[in-house]
Amino acid sequence: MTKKIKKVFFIITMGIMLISLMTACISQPTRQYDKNIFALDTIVTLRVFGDRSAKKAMDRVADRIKEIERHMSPSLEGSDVIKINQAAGVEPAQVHEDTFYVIKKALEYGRLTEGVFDITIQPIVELWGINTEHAKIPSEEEIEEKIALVDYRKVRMNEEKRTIFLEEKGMGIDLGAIAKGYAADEAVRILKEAGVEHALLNLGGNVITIGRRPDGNSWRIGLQDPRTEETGQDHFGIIDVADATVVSSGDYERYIKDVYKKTGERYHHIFDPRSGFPAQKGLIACSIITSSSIDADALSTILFIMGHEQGFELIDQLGSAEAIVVTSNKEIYTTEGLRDSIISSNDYYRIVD
Amino acid sequence: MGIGIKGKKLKIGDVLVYIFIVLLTGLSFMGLKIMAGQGDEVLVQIELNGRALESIKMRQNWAEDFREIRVDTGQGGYNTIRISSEGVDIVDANCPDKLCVHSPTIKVPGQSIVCIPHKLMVRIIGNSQVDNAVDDTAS
Repeated sequence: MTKKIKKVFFIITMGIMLISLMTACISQPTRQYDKNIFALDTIVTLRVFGDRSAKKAMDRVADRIKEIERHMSPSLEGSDVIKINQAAGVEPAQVHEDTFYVIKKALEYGRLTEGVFDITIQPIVELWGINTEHAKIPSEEEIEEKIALVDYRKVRMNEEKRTIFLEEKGMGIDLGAIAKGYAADEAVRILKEAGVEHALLNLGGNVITIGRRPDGNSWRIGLQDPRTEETGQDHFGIIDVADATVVSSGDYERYIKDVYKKTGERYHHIFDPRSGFPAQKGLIACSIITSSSIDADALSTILFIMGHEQGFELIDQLGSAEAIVVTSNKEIYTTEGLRDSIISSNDYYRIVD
Repeated sequence: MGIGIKGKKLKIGDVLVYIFIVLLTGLSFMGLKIMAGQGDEVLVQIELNGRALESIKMRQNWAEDFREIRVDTGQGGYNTIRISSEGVDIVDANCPDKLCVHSPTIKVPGQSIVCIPHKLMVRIIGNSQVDNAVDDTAS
């Protein structure tokens, strides 16, 4: 009898141990994988949830972003952008499919906004040199000379040969306002194709979410307070999203620090292609919330340059995005669809209905 | 004397085996809990181009961990990181934009300072949650 009991006891114990071992090995648990890479002149943070295949997909995303950077960088030797700019006024340059697609999309936004969004802004960007050691306020003459070279209608595309030609010598393109958006869309495509259901990506401040958080809640995204040194707050608002991208633009990140210290004026990096000066339409920050990152990237720049009223008109007309702006009077305006979903987290700003 | 089941005696060895199994189960559960929780531990992590260079375990009182670390980022580049009771700061760097030096001090888990030209990131890792915690910030 004792032997029988012992045997039963032994079998049960071993059984429990075996089962727990097996479940630990077989069911690949949902894990969180993180990766930070420096690319596209910014920092990219990837957070992906899933099993090992999710991690592999995350590594492919990192490679893909670096590939896009090699094609669209304004500074990496041999990039399509450098090739196009060097051949300006001389001959068409053949480019990768990625670059061709992004330029095509950028020119569509150029036409839609009649030049508010203009990738041929490069000569102006270079002249001001914001965030470089030679940043300065240029003279009127210098700006006049360079603004004459800014015109998106002088970019010629040849679909068959996949070439881009800038009609005049001295012209140049800068894809800084749209390349990150394209990279984000590619990242989402790769992750979704690999079956990833939950991910949080940040490409230099552009936030992209796939699905919801693994716990089923929406992702909670803070909107960067543009005057954090005055308010002591991190965010001017908070928004809960799922399967969406949140892209912000503003005057607070890149501006000429020396001039700001002396005069309090912010000469920032978002230029109005019509004036050659930093956009001055009463906004200090704005955000776009939508599903396509390339659209969000372009639209946030457009909204910042157009200002609140004209910008909201365009976004309403498009009907596919929501927006929020912070004015220099410390007022917050949102599009209709966002009115109830923005969480105020900061008394410094007033939400206007 | 021994412990009996239905009047039959168990040997001392059997009892020891069962005690051992019970102890092992208990201990592994405790181990799991410790590994998952990590308590309120806070780490300051310095990463260069995505690779961790240094992870500094912070004590409750940050003042005890005061230090300045000069990180050589390659090609003559450097960033000087200061850890003090205020938090973590980059106090000096020879990068072209100096955005990292102008970045606000960080102290809460999840916060970070980045120097893009030098591919350097300093971040605070930990579990303690703040009210209104966000998953990420659009900037």
